[in-house]
Amino acid sequence: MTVLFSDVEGSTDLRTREGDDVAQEVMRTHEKMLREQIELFGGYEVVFMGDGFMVAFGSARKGIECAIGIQRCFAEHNATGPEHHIRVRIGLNTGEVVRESGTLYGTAVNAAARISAKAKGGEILISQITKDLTTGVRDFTFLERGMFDLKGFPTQWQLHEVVWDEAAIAEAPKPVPAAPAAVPEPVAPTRLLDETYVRPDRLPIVGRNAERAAVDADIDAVAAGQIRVYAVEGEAGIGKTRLIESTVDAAAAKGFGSVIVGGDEELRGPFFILRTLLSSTSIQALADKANTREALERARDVVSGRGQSETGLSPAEQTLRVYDVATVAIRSIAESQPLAMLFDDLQWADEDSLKLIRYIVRTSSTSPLFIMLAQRPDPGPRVGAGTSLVADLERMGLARRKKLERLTRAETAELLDNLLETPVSQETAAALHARGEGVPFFIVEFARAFRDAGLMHVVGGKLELSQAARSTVAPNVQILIERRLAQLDSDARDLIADAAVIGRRFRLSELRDVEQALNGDAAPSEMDLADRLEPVIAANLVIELPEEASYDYTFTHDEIRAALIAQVARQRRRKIHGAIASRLEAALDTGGSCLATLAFHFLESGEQDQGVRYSIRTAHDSLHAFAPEEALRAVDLAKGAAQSPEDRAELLRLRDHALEALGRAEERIATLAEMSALARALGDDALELEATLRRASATRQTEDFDRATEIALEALEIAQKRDDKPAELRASLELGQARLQRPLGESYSPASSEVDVDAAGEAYARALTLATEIGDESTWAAVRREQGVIRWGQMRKFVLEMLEQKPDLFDDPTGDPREIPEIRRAFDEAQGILQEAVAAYERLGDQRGLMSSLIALAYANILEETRHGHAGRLEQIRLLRRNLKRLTSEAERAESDAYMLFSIQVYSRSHGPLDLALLRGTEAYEAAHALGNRSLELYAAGGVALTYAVLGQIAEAETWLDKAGGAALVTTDSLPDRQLETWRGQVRAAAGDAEGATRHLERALKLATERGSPGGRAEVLSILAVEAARLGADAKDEELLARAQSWAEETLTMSKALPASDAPFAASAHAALAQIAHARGDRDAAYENAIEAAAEFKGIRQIFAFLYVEPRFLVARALVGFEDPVADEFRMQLRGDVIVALFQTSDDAIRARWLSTPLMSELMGMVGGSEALRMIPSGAAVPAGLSLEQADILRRVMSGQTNREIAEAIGRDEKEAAAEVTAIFEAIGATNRNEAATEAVRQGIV
Amino acid sequence: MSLRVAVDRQRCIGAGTCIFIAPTAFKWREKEFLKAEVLDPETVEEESLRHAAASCPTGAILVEDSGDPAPWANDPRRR
Repeated sequence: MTVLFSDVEGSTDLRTREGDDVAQEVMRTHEKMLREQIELFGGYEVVFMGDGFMVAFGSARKGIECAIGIQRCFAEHNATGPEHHIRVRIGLNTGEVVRESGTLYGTAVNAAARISAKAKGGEILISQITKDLTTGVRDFTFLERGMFDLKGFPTQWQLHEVVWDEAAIAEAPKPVPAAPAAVPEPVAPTRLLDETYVRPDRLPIVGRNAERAAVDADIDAVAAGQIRVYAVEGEAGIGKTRLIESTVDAAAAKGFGSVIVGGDEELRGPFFILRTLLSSTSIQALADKANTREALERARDVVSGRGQSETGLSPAEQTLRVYDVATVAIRSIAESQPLAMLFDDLQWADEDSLKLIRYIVRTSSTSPLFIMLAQRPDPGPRVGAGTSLVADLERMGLARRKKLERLTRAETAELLDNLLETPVSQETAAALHARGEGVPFFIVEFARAFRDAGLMHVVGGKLELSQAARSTVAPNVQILIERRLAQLDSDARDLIADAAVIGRRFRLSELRDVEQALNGDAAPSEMDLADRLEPVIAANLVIELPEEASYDYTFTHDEIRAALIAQVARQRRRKIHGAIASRLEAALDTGGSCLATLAFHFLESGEQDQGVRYSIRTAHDSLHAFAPEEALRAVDLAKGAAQSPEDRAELLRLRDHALEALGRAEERIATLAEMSALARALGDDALELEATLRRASATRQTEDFDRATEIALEALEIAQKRDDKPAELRASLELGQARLQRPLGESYSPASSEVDVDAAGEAYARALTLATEIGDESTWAAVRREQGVIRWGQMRKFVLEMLEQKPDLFDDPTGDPREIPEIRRAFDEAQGILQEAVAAYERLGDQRGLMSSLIALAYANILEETRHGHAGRLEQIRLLRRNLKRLTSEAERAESDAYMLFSIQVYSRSHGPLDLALLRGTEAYEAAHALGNRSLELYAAGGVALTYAVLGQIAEAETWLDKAGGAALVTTDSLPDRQLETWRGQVRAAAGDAEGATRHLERALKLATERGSPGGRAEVLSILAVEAARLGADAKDEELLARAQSWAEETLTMSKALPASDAPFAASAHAALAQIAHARGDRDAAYENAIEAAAEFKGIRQIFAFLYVEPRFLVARALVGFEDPVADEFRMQLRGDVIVALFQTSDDAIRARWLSTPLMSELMGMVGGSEALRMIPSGAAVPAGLSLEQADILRRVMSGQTNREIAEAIGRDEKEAAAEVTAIFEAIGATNRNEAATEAVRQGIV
Repeated sequence: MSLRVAVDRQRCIGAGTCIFIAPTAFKWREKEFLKAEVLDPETVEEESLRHAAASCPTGAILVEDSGDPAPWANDPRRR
């Protein structure tokens, strides 16, 4: 039920000011207008209170719509210029209510009333839950208003404003993004104090010159657009926090925004640091300034699990997505103003947040981000997560680390001067330095203690420590703190000791509850408690936090807190933990409590059962939020406390889940052994079976598939004996996965040399029957998908068997393997099964399952024709993979796109569709250029240059070589020189320039030799031999032919030294030798070498052949006039491959240009392809009658682009793009994007 | 730097771009239909290996430093 409270702002004033009559008139108008709106939106009027209403709605959306309606009504009314403006405050909340004698009761109702009281006239405020219920339902605009204390509620509430006056928003001045000006404007430091409080009385920083210089240098580098990470490590009290504070100042002076976040010893919920970061007021203010509030809110939603549901992502992908969204939010802030993020007390950070930091650093190299990481050294030999993060970053060259050393004696003196405001004598400084052991915190504490105890006197203008102080036994800090505590009266001392048990930071309301629980009588007032804390603040033991912070006080140092806790008797401590636990428990329903903290307090209070219960809930929630480390921590915390067998089993189960998500298979096996032992002790067969099933899965994770199969079979037998259908289904699934050697959804094209597809098929067949019986549709879909994949695998197996008997099965490239009935049938079946899986996943709304099935479908369709042949199928797979990936990682999306284009370019170049090679090559180059990926830019440009060379367009080829050369200048890649020289040589050869070709290629050869790359050397030699042979023959240049011969012979020698491969080196060398002999008129030698080359080319030829058109052309030349079966077969295959390539080149102009090159026209004459050529249809034809542009748009739809992205890409407006998309859907018979992707695969359109 | 190079047989679709780019580092798998395998990565430059991996349309090739690449890389599902 959603409850709306409204009331008229200033109604009492109105009554006193204008009298009852006027007020009544206004109220009547208000009442009438409100009732109209309530009726319009189907609200139920619960109470009318004269100047306000309480209204109930069955739907949160209706409630908000009604509130908007009300505000708009009054806005219109006020615009008509009435004598009295009416402004209404509205608050909404959703929750359980009790209906009794005509009215509503319950916490949800009270909260709604409190929320409306927080609203101003003309505002609508709603609770988080009401917002969550309407997010994604309709496009409401919400503004986050921050955390509020609501009267009568122990925890704070997150409230949101509903924007109902969109025009006002549009007109509101938007913050202008800061220009990347060289000279930073004097910006007011946006350092807002929030979760980590900067001490107001801090002393000037002493020493740390190297650190501060390094920080300054880093900040300058960041301002110039580079990420920098500075890690400091040091013992407690060494001054890490002080360095952070001084860094904030330094950063603010350079125009940076800053945010400080600290780890907390007791609060280690999943993503605690990340959550603190994202909800800190500093980051919110910065996001507002950068106009990127939306990204921040999105990140916060995703982190807290409130984000849009991303069905079916694997845990790792979900976590990655959390990282990604948070990184995007942070980067978007930094884009507008350089950002310093300072992480303090990282030794207490949760591992998930540490990984996020790592992720940010690794993926944001060009963002203006300065990150400082401060932590204590690890206490024992075990390396902590924070330490290993810093070590890794340093090893990768991404961070600098510095250990903070203790102060020197001179620095101690300076520190003391600053602190005591009177210079200290050398002896005093020396004494304090020795006592404090150079640790600033201790030095300051000693000095304060001695000064306050009257043990320092000014002698000759300098402070001297009295003999009494000198002669005291070397006190440790414990004693020091004792002294400070001794200044307090016993009341304040007891009170602050109780507070210490609560936590490093605490609230007055918490302390009040604790005192009430301890004393059993009436609660002291918060005001009274605050008064009693005054001396504690005066003694600098705690600091009062500013109003807007979510806590009231914080201890100045953990040492103090630890000393205080040690004074509290065990029983009392337990009681305090118990009081905090009950308080947190009461606030659970309003979502204001952290479960992990609750579990911790219960366990500490001795209420083991409750502690275990909440630990289990914490673990569940953590797993749900994809924070397996936190789940593991929660489980391990409760492990010793769990008494009941159910709890113990559940904890083991959760532990196994967490370890599975972390990929820690060995530990899983140990955990599961414990589970088995527990099951046996309890005589619990079901638990034992569960342990066995999980062990099969864990064993599979270790990649011991044989053993996993055995265990799964064992489980299957037990399940069958017990007639336990769900367990049998699970066992069958385990068996299928073990046999297919892949988890569900991750097999694509099983290799029969690796897995027994038939056995896997049997397991899944049984699973399908069981899933049908049980009615488990999601498992059914998953199994069906695997069955489709298996059917395709069986087809592959059949082809292999056929090839065994008939090795020349695919030798005729124009022959169609799909005409073989068994292949055809397997094809059709695999496609049919996979389409069933696609349909089932679509029914279930499981996007990941759908994509994974579509990819499997594209695999199984590999032999079906598309416009670009095989290349089209590959493109489909990559587009779908991108779509699948898009769900998780926006940060790497652009890079993945660029590589996608590059892969299609390489494939098209090697197999034939030259139009596609040019198109994708150009796109890959542009994408790589935009990304600044110079290496990819170089390769893409080189590929385009060579394609133009093949087409005889030398000028274009040279232009692209220049682009490649430009990229090579700035790449860090050391290969480019050799590559560039090779390409230059090939382009010169295509231009008929023998001198240029050999000059560049010889240089490339030298570079390959220098680099000790035998593969590279053989490649260049074979190219040299082929090009020189062809050019020498054409120019009748005997000298060049002689050189060609020596290169060819060297190639043969080299290739013998290399491992037997599918490289065309030897074949090319023989082709060159054939050409040389042919040019010299030595028919026998020409024939002999040509036959050798033909056999070698045949040996490396697969069903989709690389063209290797130039050396094969030389062989064809040498075979002219020979009419034997070997020569005929060679010509037939070459003709077939070339015709396929021409066929798939659907751009008529490019095909014509290619055919008109001297090489191709001579080649076609030799192998005879003119008849087949006539059968090539005009290329513009795209299946389903789509235009080329429409095919391109469909490609974008498939890869998951939105209409807006498509519009941008094709240079039209969004409306036009949307219309095109609709037209395409109609043409191919799809009603939505998923169907469109399915049809694109099925019909072979891309 | 030592590199680990592997071809995921289930993901490999036999496009052959790796063999085209680095024919001495990758080859067609024997007794298989359209599957590639690693031959001898030492015969070519590291950049060639990386480009062969990047050019794989199905992302079936793994080239990684033996050192720690990324926190989640040890998750077998992310291969």
